[in-house]
Amino acid sequence: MRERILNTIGIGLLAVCFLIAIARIVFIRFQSKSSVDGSKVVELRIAHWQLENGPRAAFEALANEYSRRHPNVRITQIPIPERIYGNWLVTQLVGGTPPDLIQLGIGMNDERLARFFTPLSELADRPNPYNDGTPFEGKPLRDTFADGMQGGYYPNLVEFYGVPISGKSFRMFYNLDLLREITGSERVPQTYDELIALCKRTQEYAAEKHVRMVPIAGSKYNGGILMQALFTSQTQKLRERLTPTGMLVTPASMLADRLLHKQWSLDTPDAKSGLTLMREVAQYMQPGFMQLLRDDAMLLFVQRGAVMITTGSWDATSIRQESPFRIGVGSIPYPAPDHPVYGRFTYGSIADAEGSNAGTVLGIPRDTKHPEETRDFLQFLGSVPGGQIWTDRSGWIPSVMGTKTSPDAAPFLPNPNGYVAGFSYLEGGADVGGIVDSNMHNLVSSYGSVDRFIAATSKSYERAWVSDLQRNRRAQADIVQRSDTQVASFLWLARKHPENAEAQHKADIALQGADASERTLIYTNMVLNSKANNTAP
Amino acid sequence: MFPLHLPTRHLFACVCAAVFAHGLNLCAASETGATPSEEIDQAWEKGATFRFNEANVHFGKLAGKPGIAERERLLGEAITLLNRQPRAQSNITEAGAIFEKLVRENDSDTIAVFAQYFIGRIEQVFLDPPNYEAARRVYRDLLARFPGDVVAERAASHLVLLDLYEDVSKEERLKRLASLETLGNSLNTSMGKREFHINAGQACLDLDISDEKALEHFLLADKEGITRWQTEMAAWVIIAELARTENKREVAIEYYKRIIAKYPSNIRTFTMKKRLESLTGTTVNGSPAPGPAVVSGI
Repeated sequence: MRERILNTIGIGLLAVCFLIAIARIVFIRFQSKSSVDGSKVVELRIAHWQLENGPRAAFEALANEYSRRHPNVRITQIPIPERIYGNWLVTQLVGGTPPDLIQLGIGMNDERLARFFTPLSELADRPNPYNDGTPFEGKPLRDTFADGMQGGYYPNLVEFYGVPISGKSFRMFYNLDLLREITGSERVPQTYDELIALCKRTQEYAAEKHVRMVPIAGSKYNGGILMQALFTSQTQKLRERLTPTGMLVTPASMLADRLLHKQWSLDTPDAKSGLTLMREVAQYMQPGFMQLLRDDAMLLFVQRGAVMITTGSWDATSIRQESPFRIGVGSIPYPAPDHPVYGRFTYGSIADAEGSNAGTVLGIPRDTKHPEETRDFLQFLGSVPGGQIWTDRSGWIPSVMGTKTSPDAAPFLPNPNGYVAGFSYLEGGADVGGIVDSNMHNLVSSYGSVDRFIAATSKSYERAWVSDLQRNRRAQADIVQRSDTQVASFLWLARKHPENAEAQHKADIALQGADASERTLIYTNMVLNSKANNTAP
Repeated sequence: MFPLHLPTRHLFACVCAAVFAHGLNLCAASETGATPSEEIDQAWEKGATFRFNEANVHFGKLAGKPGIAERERLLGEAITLLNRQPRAQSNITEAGAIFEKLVRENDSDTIAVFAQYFIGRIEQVFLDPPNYEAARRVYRDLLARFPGDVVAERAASHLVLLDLYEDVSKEERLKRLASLETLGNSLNTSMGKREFHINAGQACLDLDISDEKALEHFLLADKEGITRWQTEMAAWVIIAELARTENKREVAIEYYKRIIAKYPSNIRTFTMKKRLESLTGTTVNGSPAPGPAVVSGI
């Protein structure tokens, strides 16, 4: 009897759900066919993983403004969590049912881009009609971006496949109310020593007031950002010593070569100084922070459990909205060259990373049901008016020139006035990262020390660089092989159509990219062979 | 009701679906309305955008079609076969056989240049282990027989990498560089010269052969015109920095200025401004001392 009742309830629930689903489909169908002026309403769907508060509000505002200008177009956001975005997207693309506009990045590679997305070079070369009446009227779309739209350019494919609509940078965030309570002022640290002084003062304050509070909210993610940044300030001069004159950036394969030839190790004074800095700041984060996630650190900060947190500009709107206190923002205070302990290894503050003006890149899948409307909407997103709505509502950095950066976004504008960073202890790759992570407790815990970390890591550290290098070699060989077919195809088309300037240009660019990959491969081969033969190159 | 066992029914359904899909595919192919020349170009375009499997199938479908040049079709089929997924040794062998056949049939047309070039590439990058000696022989022959051909001259830049990055003494490297430079002087195409000089210059740096030689090669490469911005930026920084350390002050200043003007937001540009300031003794616009740009109260 009981079983029968449960079965009836189950079937009843199923039937109700089914009816609701049918009603919903009918409603959506009806809604999509209805219109203000009798014409068919087009619904565009835009998929992204920016679940933070600001961007969703910004997309909503952009959609509303676009629909106001084009009453027959309705835009729906599909925010997908980062963790499942890649799998979800691939399923949509392979199934031929992708949204009309897609954020590029997670789950994407050159092959998928080429197969499933529309090249946008032609769009990039055309003036953006939504820039009419602005200083960029009549200018090609790509020339209206601070980075020349490089964020949407895929060098291996020699094509634009996306339009970047925002930028990003890393910053320190401060609880200004707490800062005033603790120090009597809202002045945020200008130097590394001031940062440490604030950390010490915060600990004293917590002890005096018997409150549970740490100076810096840490997690593997947030603590990692700060610790890596400080480490790279100490390897600026070492990087230069390890690199031939003129190369201001050092490829991982060259660092591996120098490591294998004992030209540096974690015990080298510069690297050791970087580790000392890491340990120093780690003492001001909550115990066991390396086991915590990004959300844990964020929660601690917004609940007044910490005075500071280091994170990316993309978290700014969420922090602002969820924090019941005022927020201060500043660059990471690196040790200056005149610092008595850490100064001798550094040139000074580090420039915000190249390409930091490119984020939230959106592309159009080939299978969109509304290619024309989607292109038009993308042009709107990449215009001065669209960029203005984006930065005003999201609080994120705009990528479009001519937009007035909102006061909220201004502190995050990338600062190019800084020196090139040194290298990170993690630069080798995944295996190096694994070794460092599994031994990090030897560095950052109360019982740890720099020497203990080095002793625990040194044996496996070098081996991890070699295994990462071997993996990189396989990946690089694959790139070179694929580039061969690609470049030959371009060269053939260029030869067949000598009048086609675009074909000539694409062949030329592809060829240069392929040769750069081959140089990396041959150098990596040489390093690994010399390791095998135990000889210097 | 249905006289087949379940697995057999599944198999039957799969076959029906495959036949149906193939039929649809054929219908779609015949409805494109493209000329033979456009159709084969479409296959090449797939190859140019990493859609190798699709390109390879496309070239295959064009076999025997009126108006399609069979040698071009075979070349495309072989080139895309090299990267057909899943990669298989049999594909490499089959592609190699097609290239050999194309060269045997006619060893002097454009197709032959591509085919011979790929015979060398198979030896260098597709075989495991590679046969560098065989690749060198093919490349040298290509350069001798097709002077002034862009594809043939790509062989010169490959030879630079093969010869200089081998595990040999510094003296031997210098000897090899001198020999390669003679080869470089015989190149005719701008692309060929540029890639040759970039590879030679980079080898001079990577292998600590000579900063002076590196500078010379990068300047020659830049003279030919570097159109990929990442390569251009890297080359200009190397030129400026080497010119500074080699006491070629004017060259250094010129290139520092070029970098600052064309790449104002690059991570290396601030350092370039500082170098320029130290060379000229003047302050460069837009280069305030770096420091924490702190803004409170957002």
